Amino acid sequence: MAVSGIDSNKLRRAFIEEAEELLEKLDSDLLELENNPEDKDLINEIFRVMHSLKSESAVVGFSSLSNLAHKLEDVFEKLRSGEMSLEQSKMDLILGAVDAVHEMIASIAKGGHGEEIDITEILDELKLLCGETVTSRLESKTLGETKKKQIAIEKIWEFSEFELNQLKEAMERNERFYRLTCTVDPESPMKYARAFLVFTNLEQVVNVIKTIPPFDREVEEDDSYGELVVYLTTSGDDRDIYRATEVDEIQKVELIKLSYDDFLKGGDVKREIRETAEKKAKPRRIEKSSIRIETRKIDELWRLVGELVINKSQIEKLMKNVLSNGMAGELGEYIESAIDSLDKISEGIQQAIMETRMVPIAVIFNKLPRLVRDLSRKLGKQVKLEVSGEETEIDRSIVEALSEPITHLIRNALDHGIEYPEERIARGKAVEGIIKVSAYQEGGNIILQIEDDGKGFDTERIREVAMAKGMIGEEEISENELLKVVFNPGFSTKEEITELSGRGVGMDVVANKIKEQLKGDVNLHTVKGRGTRITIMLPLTLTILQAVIVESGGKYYAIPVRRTEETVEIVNTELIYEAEKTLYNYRGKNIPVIYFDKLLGKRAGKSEDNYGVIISHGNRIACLIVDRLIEEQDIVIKPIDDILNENHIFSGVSILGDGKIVYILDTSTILELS
Amino acid sequence: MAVKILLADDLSFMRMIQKEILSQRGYTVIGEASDGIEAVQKYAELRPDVVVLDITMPNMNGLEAMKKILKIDPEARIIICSALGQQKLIVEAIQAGVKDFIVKPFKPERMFSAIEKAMKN
Repeated sequence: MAVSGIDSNKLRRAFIEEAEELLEKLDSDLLELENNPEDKDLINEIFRVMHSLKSESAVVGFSSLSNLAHKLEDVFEKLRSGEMSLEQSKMDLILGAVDAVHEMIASIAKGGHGEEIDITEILDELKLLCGETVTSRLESKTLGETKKKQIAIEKIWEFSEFELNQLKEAMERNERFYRLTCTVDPESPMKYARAFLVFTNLEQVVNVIKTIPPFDREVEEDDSYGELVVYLTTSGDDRDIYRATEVDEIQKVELIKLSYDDFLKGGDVKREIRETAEKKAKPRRIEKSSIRIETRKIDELWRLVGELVINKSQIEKLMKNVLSNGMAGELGEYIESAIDSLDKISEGIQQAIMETRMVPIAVIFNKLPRLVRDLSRKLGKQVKLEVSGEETEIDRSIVEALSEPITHLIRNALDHGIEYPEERIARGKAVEGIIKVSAYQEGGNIILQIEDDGKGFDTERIREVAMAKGMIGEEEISENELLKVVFNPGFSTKEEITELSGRGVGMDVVANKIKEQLKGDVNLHTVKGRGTRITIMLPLTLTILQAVIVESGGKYYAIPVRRTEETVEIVNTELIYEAEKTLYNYRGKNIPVIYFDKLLGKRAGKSEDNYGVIISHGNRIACLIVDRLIEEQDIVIKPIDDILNENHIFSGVSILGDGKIVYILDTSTILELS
Repeated sequence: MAVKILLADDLSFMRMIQKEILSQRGYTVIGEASDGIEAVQKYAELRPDVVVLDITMPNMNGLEAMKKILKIDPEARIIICSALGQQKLIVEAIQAGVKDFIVKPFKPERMFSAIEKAMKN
């Protein structure tokens, strides 16, 4: 197992990025819901967002945020089941609660833990709304105390080995241990220097263990510390501490006594994890000089390059005409070589920008060891995580959307897949369950697999539930078909709600994300008692597509090359006509024929010669009949309007070099229609 | 007893304003210096309670002058006066032992409060 370091900052950043993405959608959905309070799709969507937020924050240890999201999830569960209706007063409360979620995330983004935002009242009101009893204020207060303790424990992540050692020594010297928080006047023109002055004063009277932010590097002119947290130990007078903070423009000073135990005991465990993680991470560390660039800027560059490529081919086409007409005269040669280099340059730019968008999938995989560790401890299961292929590069835009389904699948594998130790022993399995996560590139696809050696899916149970929910009929269906219902919204074989994977909103969220947002595919393979393997297939990049351009009914269409097996010339006599359908013998197998013009609701293809494109997606395959094959080329995908795409047989549009518009076929929908 | 102050700034106009607001508040400006060297000499000579020292001055800058003064009197109460964009110098001054700093342009209250805090210690 090769795992890079568990880095709490990386974890925090990743969490914030995901949370912000979730919230962005949430805000617009809520506004829409206010106008259409009956909209079930919206309620479902918000419910899912809350569910994801709850699980994500629980994993990263932001329990207060997780609690709030959980309560909101409960409210939307009641709305979704029709148990509750949505009046304005409830909407106000919900919006208020979502505001608090925003605040908590903003505070986490600044380095806090979300507990800084007081949500007791909102939580109580949400509980009342759900018909729960509310604990008295006094009890909430003591809850607040334990939370404070949690903050302290979590902060240990930020303590180094050296600092923990210093703490231990201070404890042995019987010094008292404090956390001091100072706020600098927001109006102050030099906040860093103010904070530094306090720090310097403190150093003269107490033993400073650590400050957040730290003062261990060269100051920059624009450094600005609005708040300073100092961990210190002392045997002297507390008044000395206050005196040291008596500096101009320091507004708020808070001194809290801490317990060494919280830090040192917790520290041992965390230190152990960190040490092993660091050991493993070290040989892999590659230092690259880098700068941070907003993704938005790269996306804009990428979009412009797309335009450039189109424009370049337009010029190429134009110049070809000019040259073949001899209009360019003796300049022809120069123009040709100029276009040649333009071609090379634009290709170079395209490649270079594409590379800036590529990141190793390790950015997702790195979060998994912590996730597995925390969850397996919580559940009392023994699990070993094996990760491979973390160097596989994927488009950055995929990373963000992919992280959520992967965490979800791992959580499922742990919660529902891997058995408890005693159960595993009883079944003659090794006590320690194994979850394997791997990634690799295959052609234009990224393949991701998540595999566990747990109990597998109970197909009989799935059949019962699916039938009871009316998702399948009485008729016999293949196991493959049956397993697909797992990805349907609202399907779950587990009746009880667990903290980890929740109540069956899992798999459909996963499938939805992968298919709709990532244009990929997901497959489930399971053997009862032996385990489950989930395979996710994703396109390498979402914006440039290698496509076969074909003509049908005088219009151009593009078929993704990765969904194409072969292109063939077909004489009508080669086709096999049966009562309901036409078949084509492809490599000794009769496969269905789809007349593309028929699909578009135009005349049936009757011409003598036709061309066929053998398309496949998953285990489906068919021969798509078109009028003419044009060429194979890279095209830039642009989104398509729903009005033009009633049957959803297109996944986008593109513009060719000559300005012609091509529709990009969604092969999976087309194959399902056959 | 009125607090005795030494003002060091290369701009006489700045000294004039500072002297004006300080006297109105009841402080006594017992000396003025127009560069670092003069500031050190005046300190040794006058032993003021507080020195308000501009950080950018000709001949010897405020930072150097401050170090020299602290050699003469480690207990000297020095307030550094700087313009925006000199955070690095301020940090250096803090490391060298300055008690407080004010950033120009400042309101009179800032100066008073810095002097009062310095006097407490």
